[in-house]
Amino acid sequence: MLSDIWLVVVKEYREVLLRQGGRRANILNMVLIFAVFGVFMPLQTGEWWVQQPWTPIFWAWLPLFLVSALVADSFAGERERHTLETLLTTRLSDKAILFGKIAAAVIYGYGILLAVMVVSLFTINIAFAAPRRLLFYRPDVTLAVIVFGFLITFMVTVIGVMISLKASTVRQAGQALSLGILMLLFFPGLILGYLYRVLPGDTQVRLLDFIEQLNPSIVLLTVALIFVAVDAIFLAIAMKRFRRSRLIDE
Amino acid sequence: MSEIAIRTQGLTRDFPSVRAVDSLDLEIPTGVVFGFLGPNGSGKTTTVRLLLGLLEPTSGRAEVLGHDVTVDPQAVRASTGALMEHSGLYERLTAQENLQFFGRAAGMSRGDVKARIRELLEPLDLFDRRGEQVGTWSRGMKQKLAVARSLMHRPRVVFLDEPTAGLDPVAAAGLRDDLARLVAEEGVTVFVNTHHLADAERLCHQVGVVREGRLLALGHPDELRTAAGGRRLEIAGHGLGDQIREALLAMEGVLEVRPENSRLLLDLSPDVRTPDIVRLVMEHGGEIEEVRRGSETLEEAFMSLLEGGADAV
Ligand SMILES: Nc1ncnc2c1ncn2[C@@H]1O[C@H](COP(=O)(O)OP(=O)(O)OP(=O)(O)O)[C@@H](O)[C@H]1O
Ligand SMILES: [Mg+2]
Repeated sequence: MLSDIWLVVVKEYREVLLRQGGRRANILNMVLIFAVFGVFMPLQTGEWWVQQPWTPIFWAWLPLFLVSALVADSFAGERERHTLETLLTTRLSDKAILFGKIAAAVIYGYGILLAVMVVSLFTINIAFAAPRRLLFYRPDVTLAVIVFGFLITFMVTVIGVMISLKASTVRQAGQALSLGILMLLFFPGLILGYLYRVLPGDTQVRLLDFIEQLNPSIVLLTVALIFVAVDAIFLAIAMKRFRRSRLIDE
Repeated sequence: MSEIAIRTQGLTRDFPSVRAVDSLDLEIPTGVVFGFLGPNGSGKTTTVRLLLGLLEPTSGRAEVLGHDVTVDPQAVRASTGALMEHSGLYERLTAQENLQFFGRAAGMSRGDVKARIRELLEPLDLFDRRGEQVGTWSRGMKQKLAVARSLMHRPRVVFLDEPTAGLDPVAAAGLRDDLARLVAEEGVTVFVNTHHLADAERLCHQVGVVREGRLLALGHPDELRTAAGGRRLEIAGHGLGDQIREALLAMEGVLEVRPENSRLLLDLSPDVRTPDIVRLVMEHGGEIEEVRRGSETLEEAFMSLLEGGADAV
């Protein structure tokens, strides 16, 4: 099973990332990502880059953009290039194919996220470190990025794969996914903001007080658990949706 | 008695607006090259999809190599190969990478994959080009590669859905020869969908003619030809005028007589003997150069089956 999943992962990389023509664009993309997030932004922000508690929130949305191209292509690309049915005639199980597609995007997005974090650490240290004192991310921040980076990458990947499963072209999948990501980014904030504003004045104050006295670790843990649950639900839906007999039959 | 490779019983598949496959009963022994012959939309592709467990039957059942296609489709796919409507090759990968992927996907070892790629591609003249991206290849080359891919893991049964479709006549003939050789070498049971009669003539031991999801006829290509064409006689010669025509028509069992250039085409009921016809013509002053019986092509047999309905064989 694991080797089957890995086989699909490698095929995805060969086909989507390393393909002739696309190869140069992909390398350029990569260089751009590392230049912007690994060098330029840390230089702009300064030492704060590794110290402030908001860093994880900033990092969390990087994988969204990394993963989306790969994920939009996952099934819609096979359909568009007429390889899906043949893939389905192989011995590979439904799970191996689905998990292979998901793993390819998660490993790619999460891998780059971690790599960019390391590069930016170098940048900060080279530019700002005082003699004989290395700068490092706050431990809680590091942990948060590692945990949330994964959970968010995974969630976007699974949602994207489901969209790609339904879409008839890569372009359509890409558009739907961009819309989905935008909603994911702004909707929760908009809704919370709206709810907050409709509250009476004294309740607002009490809510802020309540939030202030919460233990940050417990809040983060709770949010992480909610993410795990949501990821699990999405994965279950994707597994239910991905049935050979339903892919041909429409 | 040879083993049965593919068996269907009352296999039926409905789509919202059509019954694509209608109570199909088939028994295909192992080692046989079976041609599934039918016009567009007759349910050939749907049948293959059902046999591979890619679609679920509405009713009836099917077995491939003893595995029920709805109960254990995984086992069916593990022991079969398929070339579907599209070649299904990854055009951005090289030929070698394609075969590697499908070989590994079928559970072959790395070493075995390597040896098999050589074994398959060399006779197809593709081995030296295995490092090229498939997208740059001609349709004929892709189709040859797709055939190799379907046989990669040495399946016991292979499904080919119109393998020569879209090829020019020369490429199609070439592919047919390659297929015939591969099939003989590998001893694989083949289920080939086609509406090219040439495919059936060149490759198949047995053909089933299907229309609107229903099996109209089943048999060896020659049997089909004689069954549909055996009651026909063609006489070439001189002085085959109206008088002879009338005399022939008066004879019992002669259904129709059509003049064509210097020939007469006769439709006969099966019990009429050729010597009796010849004698009658000569008695009426006709000079016979040539007499041919059952000279219909498979194509004509096929067409008459499709027009005539299910009573032919
Ligand atoms: N997924 C589907 N949904 C609805 N109808 C379908 C579907 N697949 C096939 N059909 C219908 O079923 C019938 C048989 O189609 P099928 O593709 O099996 O024929 P075919 O013999 O392979 O034809 P061709 O020679 O054109 O490939 C057609 O009327 C077709 O429109
Ligand atoms: Mg078809």
